[in-house]
Amino acid sequence: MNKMSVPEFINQFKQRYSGLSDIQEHSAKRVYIRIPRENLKDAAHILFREMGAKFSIASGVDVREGFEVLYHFTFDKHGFICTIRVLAPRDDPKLDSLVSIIPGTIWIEREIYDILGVRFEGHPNLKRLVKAEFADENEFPFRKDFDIKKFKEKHGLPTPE
Amino acid sequence: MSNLSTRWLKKSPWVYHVGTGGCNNCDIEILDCLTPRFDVERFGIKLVVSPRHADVLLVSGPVTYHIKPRLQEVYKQAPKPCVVACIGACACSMGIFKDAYSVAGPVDKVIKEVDPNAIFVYVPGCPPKPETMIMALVKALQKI
Repeated sequence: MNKMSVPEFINQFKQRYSGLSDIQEHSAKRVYIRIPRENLKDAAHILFREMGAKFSIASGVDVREGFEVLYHFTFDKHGFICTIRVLAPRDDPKLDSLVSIIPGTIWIEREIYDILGVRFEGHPNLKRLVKAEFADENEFPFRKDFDIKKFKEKHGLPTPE
Repeated sequence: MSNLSTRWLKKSPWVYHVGTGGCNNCDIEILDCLTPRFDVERFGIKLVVSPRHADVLLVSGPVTYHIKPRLQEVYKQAPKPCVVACIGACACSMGIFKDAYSVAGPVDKVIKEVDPNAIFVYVPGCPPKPETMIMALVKALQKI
């Protein structure tokens, strides 16, 4: 079978995708595509439905500009990983949920909502998942401004020395 | 203690595996310990599916707030005398998860809340070797 290289993939992606994108070719096995959050569903549809990528996992990071969510797609037959990066601004942390396109994102989006506080619009069951039961809905441990001392004092837990 | 139940316990300790929020590394080593390479069944150590049958609880992982009441319930259901084996650095002392937002405490602290006289055996390591676990169990059973 013909293996698709990363530059070939970028060409094919550009032909199908019409919105803004910032493509960073990191290595022969890794490519990052930064897109505005309005185009997230289009890009996921192109990668998952049209180009046959496999959804591996999503991850969320608190960066300076806001909360960045990275959707990692793997092309197992071609041997590289494509990561879609979208930014949710700090004052309005909302993204479109990909559950309607990729059912496998249901759990990881719920977990990212629970510990990072990014709201996924259109998610069928956006409830808390892994946080301790006594923690409040608006306490997000993976945010940079989360204060572990205040959190422990508030809930009456033993504070670190 | 030299009553009938402890004599049985020494002959053939049945173990029950409790995962309390570990990273699965210790769990894999426990499985290695039980499978034919080390084959602890030749010593009569057998994995059981219910804490009500268990003589030894193998606990791996720092105890998270979610699992804390469940672990205490499992300990209450195990027939006494019962040895609690803390497998791995996290179960012994919380390891790198000390002071984390989700961790309630090491295994001994959590279980001493329901039974101050519980018997513990600590197997540190990340993960501990199967030989270490077998040796710890043997030492614990000699002490009883």
